[in-house]
Amino acid sequence: MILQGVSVCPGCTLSRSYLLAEPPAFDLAKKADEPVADALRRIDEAFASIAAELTASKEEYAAAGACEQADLMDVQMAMLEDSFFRDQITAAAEAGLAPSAAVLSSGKEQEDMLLALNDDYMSARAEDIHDLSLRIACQIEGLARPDLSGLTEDCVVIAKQLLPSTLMSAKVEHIKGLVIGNGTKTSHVSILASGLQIPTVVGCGNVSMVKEGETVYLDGEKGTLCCAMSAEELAACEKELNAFRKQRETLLTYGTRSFESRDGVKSGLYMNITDPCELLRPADCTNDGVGLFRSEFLFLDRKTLPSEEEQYEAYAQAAKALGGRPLTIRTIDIGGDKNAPALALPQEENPFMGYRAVRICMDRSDLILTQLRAILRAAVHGDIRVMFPMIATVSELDVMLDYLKLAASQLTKENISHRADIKVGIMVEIPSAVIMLDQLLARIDFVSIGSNDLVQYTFAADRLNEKVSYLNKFMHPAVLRLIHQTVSVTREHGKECSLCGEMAGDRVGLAALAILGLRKFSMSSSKLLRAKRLMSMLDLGALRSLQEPLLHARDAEEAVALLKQSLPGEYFGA
Amino acid sequence: MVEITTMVQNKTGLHARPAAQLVALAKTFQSKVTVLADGRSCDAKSIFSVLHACIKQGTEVVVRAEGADEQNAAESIVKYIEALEE
Repeated sequence: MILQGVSVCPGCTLSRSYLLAEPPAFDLAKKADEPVADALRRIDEAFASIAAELTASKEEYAAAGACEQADLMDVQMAMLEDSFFRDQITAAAEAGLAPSAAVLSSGKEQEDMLLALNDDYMSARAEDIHDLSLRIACQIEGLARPDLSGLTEDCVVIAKQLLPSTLMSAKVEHIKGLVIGNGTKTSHVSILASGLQIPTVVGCGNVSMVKEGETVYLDGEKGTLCCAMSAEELAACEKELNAFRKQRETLLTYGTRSFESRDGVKSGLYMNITDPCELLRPADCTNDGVGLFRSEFLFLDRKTLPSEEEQYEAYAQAAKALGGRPLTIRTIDIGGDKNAPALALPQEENPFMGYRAVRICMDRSDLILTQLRAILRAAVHGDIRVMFPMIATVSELDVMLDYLKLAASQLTKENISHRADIKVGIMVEIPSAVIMLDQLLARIDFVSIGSNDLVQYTFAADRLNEKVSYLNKFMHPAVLRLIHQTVSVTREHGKECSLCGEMAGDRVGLAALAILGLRKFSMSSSKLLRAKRLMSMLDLGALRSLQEPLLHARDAEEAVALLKQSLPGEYFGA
Repeated sequence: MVEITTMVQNKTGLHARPAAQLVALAKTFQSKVTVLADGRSCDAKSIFSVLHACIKQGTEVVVRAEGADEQNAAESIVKYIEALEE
């Protein structure tokens, strides 16, 4: 049987399935159906076994040198042994609550009190007590809970839903593939999985037909999962897997080669990242740094805003991991399809056309100033650049540049170490920015084209609306002309131009961009190797004659056909 | 009763690991140990009590110990707070 979903991260894997438990639903007001003494005894037993588990995990983490996780176990242990917490639970049980309800309601009270402090460190502790009381309640009721920290062998994780925190606490080296029934391509956990380069498929609906421990085949590129396989199907999957491995081997030979065309034209190759932890894994291949760091990951899936300190830590960590290579931080791009609960933004009729990114920062100086201060402080640790998204007008850019100056002067006044002379750029993703580019460029050092949004704003077509997906085409000459104009005008002004949308990692898109003169490409790290191989097949000198025909094609289909006629056949098999 | 005044110097204050270790240390003494900060007081033997006090960098705190080993308790805890680095 084949389940079809949406591809998030490519890669093929044949492995046993691991079904992630769903978080059980508890009734916090459930009454006990047993004598108080029995209830208290069951609570005692659950506490004792969780204490043993925490001690064991702590030793395991400490032995593996994972100090942060070991410390976390200490904190949870201190909470488990806390006499106030325990007295509260006992009182609740004596008042007639069922054991699990007594634990969960007491935990919830502590959680709420910590959240009410409105402090980032303390809200993280609120998560700790939430996790811990859920764990105790599951132990009492004999229920499984979603947990990946105990994986001991390689598997494909199958989940209806998955929280980023569950994935973060997992033994990631054992996760060979990930299937999420309800996920979307842009959810935080998808972006995280992609950064960790775990082959991942989301949105394939009914995953409950997959059996625990059965052999499954995941094709991250096609977005498919094969389960309940017959012997023939299994043989076919093994054949596919071998072909995939062979292709991967070929690609790996490009690891340390430079990113250049067949006729020796060199380009810059950069990564798009979402979480600094993506940089902890060695990249597939050499590259020039980070062309897009989506800083909004710090703001999603949480109830409070990240502090300057927390942001500083994240940016500094990424800058240090890059060892001097550039780190281009895009300031928060919240709104559109990304919401931050802490900002409590109202629902909008047309979120992509609405209150989003710098448009929010225009009103929320606290938000952007905190972020810019963190960026300038982290800049002492590496080559950090700042990039403003969704710039539509020169005035918006001027406001952002004023904030940047203000952040620097505040830090100088407060005598806090920072760097004020960092490179500044904007995302070019709204056609008005292309039209006014000369004036924008006079104020900045670089631009980066956001092709996904540029396409949707060029055609006035929501890129998430299936009904207008026929307009979602980056190969349309209307888009190609805007890109060509951006590349040429930036070059005339002696400034840098890159592109960080999906188009850069796409086979056809990459060729078109190189022909239009783009020399800096930024894409998700899973696409880097293939991009090197593809570029090495292009003879850019000869292909130059294709530029005019591409710009004057009738539509996207004609532009793609032009490329297909002119590029070597093996380019489309690589 | 022994009271010693000190200052929380480490960047993140008494959260997470510093708090958990403070509690573990306080529990090694018989004395009742209280930390007073900004007009609030907390029981140094309860992590929730310490966390709720939300004691940050630059806060002046009074460590108060009452019991058989009060001198030793107050001194050890002040020494621990002053040695915090993270």
